[in-house]
Amino acid sequence: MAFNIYTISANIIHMVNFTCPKCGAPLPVKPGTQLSVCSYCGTPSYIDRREAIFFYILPFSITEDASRAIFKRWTAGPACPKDMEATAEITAIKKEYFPVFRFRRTVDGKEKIAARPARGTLLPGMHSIEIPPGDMVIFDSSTKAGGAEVLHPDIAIDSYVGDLEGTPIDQSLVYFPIYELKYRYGGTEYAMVIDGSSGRISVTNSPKRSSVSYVAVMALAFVLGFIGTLLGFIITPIFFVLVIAGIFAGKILAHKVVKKPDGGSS
Amino acid sequence: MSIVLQPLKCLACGAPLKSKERDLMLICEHCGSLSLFADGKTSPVEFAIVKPTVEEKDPLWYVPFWVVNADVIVHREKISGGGISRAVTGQKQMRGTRDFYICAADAVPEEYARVWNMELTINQPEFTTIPEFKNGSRMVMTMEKDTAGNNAEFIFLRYEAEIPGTLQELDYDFIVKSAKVLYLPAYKKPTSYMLGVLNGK
Amino acid sequence: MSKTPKIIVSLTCPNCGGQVQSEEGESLVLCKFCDSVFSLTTDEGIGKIMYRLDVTREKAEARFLEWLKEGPKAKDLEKNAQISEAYPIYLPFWRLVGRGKACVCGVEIKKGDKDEPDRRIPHESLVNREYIYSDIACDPGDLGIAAIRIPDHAKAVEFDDESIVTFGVPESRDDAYSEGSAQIKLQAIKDGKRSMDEVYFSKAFFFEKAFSLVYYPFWIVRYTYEDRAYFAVLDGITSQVISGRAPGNAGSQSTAAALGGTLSGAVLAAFIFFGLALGAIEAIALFFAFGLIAAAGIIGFAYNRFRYGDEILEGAMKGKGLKRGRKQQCIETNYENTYDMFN
Repeated sequence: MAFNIYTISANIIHMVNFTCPKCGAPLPVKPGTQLSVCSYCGTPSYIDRREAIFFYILPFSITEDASRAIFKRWTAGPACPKDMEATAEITAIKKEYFPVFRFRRTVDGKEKIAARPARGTLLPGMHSIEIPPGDMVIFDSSTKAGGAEVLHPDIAIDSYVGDLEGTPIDQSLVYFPIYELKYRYGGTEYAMVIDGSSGRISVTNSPKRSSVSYVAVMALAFVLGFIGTLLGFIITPIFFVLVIAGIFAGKILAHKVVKKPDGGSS
Repeated sequence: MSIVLQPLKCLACGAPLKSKERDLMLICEHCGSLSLFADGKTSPVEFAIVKPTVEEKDPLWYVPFWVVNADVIVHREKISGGGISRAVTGQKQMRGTRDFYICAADAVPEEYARVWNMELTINQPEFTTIPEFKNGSRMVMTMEKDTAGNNAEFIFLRYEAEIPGTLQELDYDFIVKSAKVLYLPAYKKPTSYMLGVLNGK
Repeated sequence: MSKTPKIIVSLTCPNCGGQVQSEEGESLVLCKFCDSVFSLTTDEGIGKIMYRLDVTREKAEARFLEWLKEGPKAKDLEKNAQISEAYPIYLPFWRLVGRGKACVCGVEIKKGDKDEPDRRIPHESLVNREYIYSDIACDPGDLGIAAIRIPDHAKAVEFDDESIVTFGVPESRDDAYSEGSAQIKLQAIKDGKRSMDEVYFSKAFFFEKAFSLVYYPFWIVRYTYEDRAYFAVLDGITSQVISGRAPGNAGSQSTAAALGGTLSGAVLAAFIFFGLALGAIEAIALFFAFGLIAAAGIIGFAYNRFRYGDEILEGAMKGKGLKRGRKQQCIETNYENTYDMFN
C-alpha cells in the first residue's frame, strides 16, 4: 500500500516518498507513528517528519439530512426565537472539507499543538479551530470526498511558521468536514457551520430569543402570589384566591410563551 | 510497531544487564558494579551499605534509601501556640544543611517507611559502612532520583506541621545539593519491619 | 474507586523472543525468561491502553429508551423518537495516577456574637493521598464528555488500533501531563484546606505512578424527534447515559413558571407576615431576609426550567438548555493508603 506524503513550500505541494534505507522499498507510514517497519526486509526506520507535511482527512460522520435535522433542533432550542423553527429556511448548504494546518512542536522541551486555518475565511468558528474528534486517515489520491468539495489551502504554511514558538516535531494538513449553511430568518440571511464529525454548531451572529416575556410571566405570578398571601393573612382569607389565580394565570400565559407558533411544541 | 525495547548495558564493563526484579539499581553479573536506571538509561550512582548495629534472628534485608543532602533556609515562620511544650521537650529545629532520608523501596509499607524517614532525618545518624550486603539480601529500589528531592522537601514540611503548635506561615528555600543511595539494614518480622540501626527504632 | 486498576501491556523480548509484560507507565522492562533488562520507549512516549466494549447494541438501546422517560422531556418522546443510528466509538483520555502531598496552613473564622470579635482558629494540615486524573484527549465537539471514571471490574487490554474505530489525539501529551499534575496538586491543597477560611501557606507535590492514554468505549445513539436531530452518549461498559440532548416538555415549562412565580411570591409574603406578627425589628429583618433567600431560590430554579426547558442537556454539554445529570469530575481520590493529618 502506497502512501503519498507531501511538503509545501511557496505554496507548491511536493510529494515525499519514504523509502526503506536498506532495500529501497516504499515505507508505509501510519498517522501518529514515528517508526515504520519495511514490509520486505523487516528493517525498522525512523521517520523524520520535521520537514514533511502529512495530509489527513477526517471523514464525515453526519449526513446532509442529519445536518438539516441538527439545524432544526438548534432552531427549536432556547437560544433561538420561538418562531424560528417554523419560519427559518435553509437557503444553501455546502458539504466541504476545510483545510487546517496542525503544528506539533517542541516549546521549552514540551510538546505543543497548534491549529491554524489554511485558507482565508469568514466562516464562523474557523479562526479558533480545534480539530474535532474523528478517525483521522491519510489523505491521498485514493481518498473519496463523497460528494464534498475539498477546499484547497490558499495560505502558505510559511506564513504561520514564523510566528510559532519552538522547533517542529511534525506538521500536517488536516481536512476537516463541515457543512456550511446559509439560512434566512425574518428577512435576513445568516451563516453557520456544523462540524461534520460531531455535529457541533458554530455561529458568530444569529437571531436571539428575548427573555422579556418569560420574566413578565413570572413577575405577574410572583406579584399575585405575594399580594394574595399577604392580604390573605392580614385582611381576609378570601384573598388567597389570588394565589390560585396566580397559578392559573401563570400557567396559561407561560404556555402561550412556550408554545411554538406552528404547534411544533411538545 | 510503536514500542521499542532497548537492551541496557553495564556502564563499567559493557556486559548486558540481567535482573529478575524490576530494580532501579541494576547489578552487573559480570563485574558486580551497580548502576542506576534513570531517564531510560543507566548512569553511575554513589551508594553505600550500612552495617547492622542490632542482631535479630529474622531475615535481614538491605533497604535502599535516597539520602538527599539539602540546605533548608527559613526566612520567616509563624506558629500559633505550642511554644512552651517545644521549649520543654527541646524540639530540634530542622534548619541548615542536613541529610533527608527517603525510603526508596515499595516493598516496605508506607506506615513503616514514613516513620523511618522522619526518625533518620531528625537524628542525622553516623553509620559504619561495609563493602557488601553481608548476611542479607538487597531490597529492590523503586523510587526514582527525580522525586527524591520533592519527597525530602515534604519531610521538612511534615516536620514543621507535626511538631507542637499550629503552623501558620512559612517562607523558606529548600535547595537540593546532592542525592546518593544508602542501603540500611532492616529485619522483616512476621507482621512488621524493624530497622537494624538506631537501636531498632 | 477502591483500588487503582493496573494496566498491563504484552511485548516480545528482542533477546529470546519470550512474552514480556510491562505495567502501565513503566520504562524498565524485564524478560522473565532470559532476565534481560530493557528500557522501553514508545514513539509517542506513552502507553496506550483500551477497554473493551461490554454493552451490546440491544442493551444500549434499551437503556437509551429508559433515559427518554427521565426528567422533564417531551411527553411523547418515547413514543415518537426514532433512533436514526447507534454506533460504538472509542474516545481517547489522558489518565494520570499518582500521589498528591500537600501542606496547608491557615485559619478558620468563626463569627463572634454581637459585640465579640470574630474568632480565628489556626489550622494546619498534611495531605498524602493517591489521585487519579482523567481528561479527554481530543476536542469532544458536541459530544459533551470531559472525563471518565473507569469502573472497578473493567479489563484493560493492549491497544490495537486496527480493530476499532478511534478518534485521533490532537492534544499534546506534555500539556496533558502538566495540566494533570497541576490539577492533582490543586486538589491536594483543596483537600487540606477543609475548614480553613483563609490560607496563609500552602505547598503541594505530585509523585507520578502512571501516565497513559486510555481509549474508552461509548455508544452514540442519534435519534430524531419532530424531524430534529438529537443524540445520547452511553458509557460502553456501564451503559449509563453520560451526555445527550433531548427535547423539553412545554407543559412542565409552564407549570414551573406558574408554580415557581406564585409560590415564591407567597413564600416571601408569608415570611414578611410572620416577621411582622412577631413585632421586633430584628425578627422582621431576619424573616424578610430568609423570605428573600427562599423566594430567590425558587424563582431561580423555576425560571431556569421555564426559560431554557425547550431543550434538555445531559452531562457536560455546553450551550443553552436545561442542564441535568452529573458531570464527571476530572479528579478522583483513591482513599487506600491515605496519610492525612488535620490540626
